[in-house]
Amino acid sequence: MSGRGIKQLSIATALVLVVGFVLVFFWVPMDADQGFKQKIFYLHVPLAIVALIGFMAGGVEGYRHLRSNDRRHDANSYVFIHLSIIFGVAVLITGMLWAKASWGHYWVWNEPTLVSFLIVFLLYCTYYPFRYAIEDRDRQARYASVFAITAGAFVPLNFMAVRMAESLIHPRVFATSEGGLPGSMMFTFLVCLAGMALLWVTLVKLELLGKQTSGQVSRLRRALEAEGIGAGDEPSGTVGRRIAPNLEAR
Amino acid sequence: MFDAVPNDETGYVFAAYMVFLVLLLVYLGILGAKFQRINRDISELTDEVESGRKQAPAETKAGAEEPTGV
Repeated sequence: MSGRGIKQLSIATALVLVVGFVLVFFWVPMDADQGFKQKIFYLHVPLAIVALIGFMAGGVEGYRHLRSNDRRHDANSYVFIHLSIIFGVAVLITGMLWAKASWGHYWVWNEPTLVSFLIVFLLYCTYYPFRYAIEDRDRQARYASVFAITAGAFVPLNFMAVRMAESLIHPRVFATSEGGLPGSMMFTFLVCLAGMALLWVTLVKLELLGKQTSGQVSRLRRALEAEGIGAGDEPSGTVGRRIAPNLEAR
Repeated sequence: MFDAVPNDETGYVFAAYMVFLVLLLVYLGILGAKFQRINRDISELTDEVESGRKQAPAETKAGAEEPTGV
């Protein structure tokens, strides 16, 4: 991935998100059962879907890294997981607000959907200390890839287990016996989902561009030092030197 | 638009969308700071290269003018 097309992508993201939120507040009809609070659905569910797919994509990139030993796949895996964790924070907070509005409690411990997402989120939170703990760059990348694959495989298994669980108070809106969402709600939901997916891709591209550029700066600095030009000390501002996978040539 | 709905529901919906917006803005702020640091690093490197280039011809010239003693 490179920085090409970031400007157009950012504009498209902003446009789709604004259109989606305008549809949510000014066009889509009020839900007969939940009323106004159901509008959190158009934010919470797309965030959750994109975060979970992002976790799985991180696993796929981890697998590609192990197959090819190409550092770029490790960097992709790291950034995918990093962004999905941030999306996960938004999922948990918006979900808690929706739960409080609907059920009167911020958290319901006997609800499998909530608890399973929390488990997945906490599992991925261990990714950072796991990376931090390993000094050697190659080992760090390999172990992180194994983690990404294992945790990525856990996400769909976890999802299926929750779907098979019996006691559910968390709403089921897709493919229900009542026919699921009405057309206008489904359309609005899909626009919001597209907006969230575009936002995730834009942020991933920006993060990767930052890492790529800081890797190039480090390489250039070393080359200049080798030629005897410039100061020896690396500036404190060099980005992501400690934990983030570098994109420098090996 | 919000007159027809109870205030507490409006508050939760507003809070949810605000949380999303704030998280997004904070993240974009952090990214912006990172890019500023990278920009500063590049400027430093450019200065170092330019000062290195200025020094190199001056040293070459001084070396050429130095008496060989032959």
